[in-house]
Amino acid sequence: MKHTTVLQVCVGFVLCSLQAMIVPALDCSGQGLEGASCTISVEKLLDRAVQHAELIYRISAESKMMFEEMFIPLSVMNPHVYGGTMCAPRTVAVPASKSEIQQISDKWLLRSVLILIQSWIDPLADLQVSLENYDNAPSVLLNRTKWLHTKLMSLEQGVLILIKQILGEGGLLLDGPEKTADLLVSPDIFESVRTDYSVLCCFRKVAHKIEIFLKLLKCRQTDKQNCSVF
Amino acid sequence: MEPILFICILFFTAVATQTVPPTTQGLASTLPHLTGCFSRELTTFRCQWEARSFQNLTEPGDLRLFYIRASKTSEGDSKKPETKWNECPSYSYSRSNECYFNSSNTIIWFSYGIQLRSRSLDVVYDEMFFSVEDIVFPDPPVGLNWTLLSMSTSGAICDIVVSWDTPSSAEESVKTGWMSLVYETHYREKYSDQWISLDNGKVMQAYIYGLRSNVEYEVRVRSQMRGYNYGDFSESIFILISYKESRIPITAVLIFAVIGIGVILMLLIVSQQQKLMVILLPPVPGPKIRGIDPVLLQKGQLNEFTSILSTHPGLRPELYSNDPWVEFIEVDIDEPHESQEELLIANSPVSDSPQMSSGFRDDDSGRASCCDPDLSDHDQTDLSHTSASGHDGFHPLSHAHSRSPQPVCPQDSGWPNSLYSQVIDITQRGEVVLSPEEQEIVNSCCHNEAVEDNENNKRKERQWLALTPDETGYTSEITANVISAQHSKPNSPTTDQLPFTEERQEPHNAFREPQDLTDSSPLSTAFLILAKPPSPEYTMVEGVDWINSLLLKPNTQTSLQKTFPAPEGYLTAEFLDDITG
Repeated sequence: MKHTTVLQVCVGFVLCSLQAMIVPALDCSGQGLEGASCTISVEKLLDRAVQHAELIYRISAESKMMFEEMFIPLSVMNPHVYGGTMCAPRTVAVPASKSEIQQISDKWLLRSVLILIQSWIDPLADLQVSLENYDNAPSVLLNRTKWLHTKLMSLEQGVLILIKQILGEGGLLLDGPEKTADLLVSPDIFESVRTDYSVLCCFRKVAHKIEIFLKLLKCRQTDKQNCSVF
Repeated sequence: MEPILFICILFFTAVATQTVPPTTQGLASTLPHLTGCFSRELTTFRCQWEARSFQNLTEPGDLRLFYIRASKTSEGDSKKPETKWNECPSYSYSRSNECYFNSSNTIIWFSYGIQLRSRSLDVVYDEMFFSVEDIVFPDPPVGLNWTLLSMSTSGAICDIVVSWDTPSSAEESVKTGWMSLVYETHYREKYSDQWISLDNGKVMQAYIYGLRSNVEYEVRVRSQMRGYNYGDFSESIFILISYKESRIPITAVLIFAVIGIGVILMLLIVSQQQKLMVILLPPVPGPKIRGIDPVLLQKGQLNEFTSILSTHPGLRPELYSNDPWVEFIEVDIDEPHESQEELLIANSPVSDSPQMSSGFRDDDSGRASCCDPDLSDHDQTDLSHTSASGHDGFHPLSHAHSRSPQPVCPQDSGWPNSLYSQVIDITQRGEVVLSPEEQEIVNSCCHNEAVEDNENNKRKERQWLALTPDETGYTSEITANVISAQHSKPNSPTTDQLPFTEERQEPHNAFREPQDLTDSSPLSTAFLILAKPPSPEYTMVEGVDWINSLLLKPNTQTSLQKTFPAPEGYLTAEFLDDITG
């Protein structure tokens, strides 16, 4: 009996200690803006954000290719036109060239990232709805778009925390995301296919952009001099 | 307006994609065309065209490139495309027919439109639309080299590691995180057609397992911006791992090792043979002799031991030859002084062996050796070992005279027989028959003093006949008989014998006899203890047979085979045990 009780106490102690280590990490990601006791460093947050962005980009690229193979005939496909005009947000100017991005400050980088993320959460939800209406949409594609949506939201949370840590409380004063009213929702199936394809194409670019921004930010945080020289 | 504009753009795009190919195909041989635009590092890009042999466009500057990009507008209307075409920002000098867009002119996530126009800007030879990231073709990695990771024991299969560096042009972009490159490795055997590809990701190393030695392999690597186009392959490197098969030495070494171990084992076994034999084949325990307890030997209890050994005839001589507890009486004939050493045979077993006289010497059997030393040897052989009797305190009759008496009568120099009387025979009843001659000799000798001497002799004889009294009082019985016989002896020798024998025979009357004797004379009472010495000629008692009769040596006339009466009451328990064995 003594041995079992001692063993139980030990196991309980070990579990408690483990919980004590794990819980702060969970609290940090779940609390959002109110995490006063959150003590994750900026580097770790940035690493996590970069990993998120990379993964989102990869999945979005694969989703676009999958959609392309299934629904878009080769003769119609010309994504370059769509990418240029439809993928950019309207109200806020987001830097597009590297030189511009290099001149921009960290604050603007983060802000741009946040804007991009926030502007694409709803279109992804709409894409999800639209894809479910298809007759022969593969479940993999649906799962991936769902996953993209959830991951984008978690990335938003992370970026908010990053802004709070890097820029302080003042960085949160940003314009709210615009609703995607300019995206045409055509009742035509053909149009919906095109719309979805354009959404996927644009989202791939946006994910790429977010990834690059966050990587730049990480580079700036870790090594200021090498990243700014160009 | 917006949907109409959108539809117009779509139509325009569709027309452009449809119409451009025919024009290029129709005048492919003569019309200039764009060969391609590419970017190396997502920062800059170039566009190149080609001017065919067209008589009007051979001069540089005849063809001009214009580009348009759908840029953002801050007014909120991003759908309106920019209609103004800009000319190439910089025509490259190192190479003709190439337009270089630097980093400031490179907008990444926007689409570009490129047109190839003639000098006069009225003829559009070619155009294309693209986004910069779609035209990213990274340079191949540089610095390919390989190292041997491991090799199998036989040397036929080996693993290698191929490593490389980022291309120089994309190095900074990758370092800053602007562009993330992934790599793909291809390898094949040199003269094979099929490439084997490995996707490495961002790691600039490739592990190739399972390459065969002595076979040449070709390895090449290409880079890719993830999700976009692959760049060109790097220069192939050739790998050849030569390995000389050394199987034979290994097997020989193994064989030699086995043989060596076997030899060592054999040497060990041979050297430690005895120990091994003991371990492997323990010795068979010897048989145990039934009846003999070795503990008894240690404790010194020799009674049972000797009794056991007596059953084995072969053991007895050894026993008696090395008896430490046998003391031999040494009687000096020359020396008149008496040194009495009685023969003690404590635990001699009762046996019929006649060979007991091995160690026994009694040079002088008690008789006075003053007169005639010649007679000493006469007695040497006669005296037999009294072990046959094995009685405590029992001495042969010849031993009765342990003391050499002083010669009283010098006249009869031959034999001091005046003191002894010879036992001639023992009757069936156990009576000792003494020779009467001795009496006459005694009587004749020293007649004057015969009486005195006789008296003295008798006294002494009585003394001599006194056996060493043991606690049992046995000797007193015999002496009593002797004395009584002597005292009341008749003239005839036979009759002399009778009283001896008679009285001797009846041990139970021994006690009564002395009483009679005492009635006869007062001296007799005193002489109960004393005994008359026997006749000069002696008989050795050889032993006691199984019926408890004395075995005498056949020196006397008559073979004496008399039964030895078991005197009741005079034998102790030990005595009986020793007799019966």
